[in-house]
Amino acid sequence: MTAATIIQSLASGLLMGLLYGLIAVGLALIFGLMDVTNFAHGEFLMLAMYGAFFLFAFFAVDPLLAAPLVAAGMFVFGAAIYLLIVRFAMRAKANIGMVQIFTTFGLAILMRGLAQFFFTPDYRSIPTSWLGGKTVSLGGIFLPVPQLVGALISVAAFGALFFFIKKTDFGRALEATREDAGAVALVGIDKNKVFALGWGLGSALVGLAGAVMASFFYIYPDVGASFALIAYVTVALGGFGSVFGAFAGGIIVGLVEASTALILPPSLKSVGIYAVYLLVVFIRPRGLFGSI
Amino acid sequence: MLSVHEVTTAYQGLVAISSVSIEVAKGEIVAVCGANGAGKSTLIKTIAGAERPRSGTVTFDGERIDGVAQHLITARGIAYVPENRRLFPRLSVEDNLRLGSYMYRGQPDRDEPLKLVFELFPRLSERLEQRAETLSGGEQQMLAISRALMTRPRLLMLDEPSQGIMPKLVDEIFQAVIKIRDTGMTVLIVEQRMAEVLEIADRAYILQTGRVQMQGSAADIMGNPDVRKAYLGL
Repeated sequence: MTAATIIQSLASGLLMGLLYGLIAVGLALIFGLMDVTNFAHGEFLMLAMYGAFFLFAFFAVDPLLAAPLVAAGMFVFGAAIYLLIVRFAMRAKANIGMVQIFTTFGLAILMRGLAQFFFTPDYRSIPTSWLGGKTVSLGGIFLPVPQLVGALISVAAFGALFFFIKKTDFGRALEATREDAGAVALVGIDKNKVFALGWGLGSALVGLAGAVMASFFYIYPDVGASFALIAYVTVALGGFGSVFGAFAGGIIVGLVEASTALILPPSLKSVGIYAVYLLVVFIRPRGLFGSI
Repeated sequence: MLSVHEVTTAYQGLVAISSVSIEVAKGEIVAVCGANGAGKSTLIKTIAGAERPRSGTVTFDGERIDGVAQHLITARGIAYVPENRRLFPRLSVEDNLRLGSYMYRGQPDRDEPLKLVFELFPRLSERLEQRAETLSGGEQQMLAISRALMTRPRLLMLDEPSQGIMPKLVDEIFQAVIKIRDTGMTVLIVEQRMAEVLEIADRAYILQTGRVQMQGSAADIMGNPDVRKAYLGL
């Protein structure tokens, strides 16, 4: 193992980690806002990947161009899921935690089933795209262009999200609702609107990630499962509900995964992630940047 | 301005207020007094839309507001400062105030009530960057009232503003209530500290076990021998 291979691995790990962060941040956002874990998060990713695939297949739209469209579509989808389903699940009088879990878990199974039925279980891919298959060399390190652009999009999306939360009125309303959803009515804010926007925003972010990933991952009905697992670890590692935690957690997961792959056989590359995760939850159960 | 007509509100079948009627005219300070559990908070919550009445009507400026969603009642000009203040604890004082004027976002005169707020509570202007949770109890109450003022209410409702606050600050807050009324606002104040609140109120209602037991001008109630014995310990 040479220094060059190590640097090469860590660089790819960093790029993948930034994408993991982008996949996970919607989960963190929604959880932070209303203490609901979306167990269908992976299926949201799957839907977004299919969205990019079909835009390519039917209209020859490159995934990079499709990304904003897919994100916008996922915004509407996420907000609708809140308004039509989750909102009612939250009205449960007893056992509300279980009701929420089974609601989003059931949604995941439904979405997967519908995808298998309508999209077939076939593995799809986008064979030719602007970015696909290209690499750039930066000082002797070879970086795949799709992942590089994906990482840059992730950084830009996180930047925009931080700005939105910290500097805009709606961001402040989002923060206030996180703090005390029962109190926002005191200043004339409808918490259901904020929740719907939170679901929309969280879904748009995972939509962005899905569209980017469509150019270099196979697309199939179960594709969300493995990424969702990583997203849960990312969010728990970074701190449930923390947007910055998702960013940092994603990078850590990406780097740990890449380092593990250097030492262990590729089939065990996830072992490192879960080992680090266990270590963090033992030492700091709320995650690195969590406040709850 | 505000008319509560024979309102009954129950929690899980338990009646908290029963056929309560009160009137508040524009420019008044009206106090609602009574012992713990008399239904004072339930009354104010029902007006604010945080609870729905089982029967009866609440009318504000001629329009029925019972059954209207709480955030829409705020938008109609009733600001409610609940007993536990419900500030956004980890947000700054400034953010809490700016959330108060959220409904006026994008308008150039959005922060106009800030002038009144800083006049009433100058100490808040020195603590704008601080998180709300780091304020003292009295300052938190001031911030809660200020956040309510930022919504530009015509009716300000305060639930036990004196609770958990040192006496000197209670006085400051009650003086602020008078100044708020003098700007043309109407105030409905629920308070256990009857002697103090009757000094600033125009009229008062006394609730007992969910019903209006007595009503009248603050001076009449203060002078009533039964009240003096039962509530004021005189």
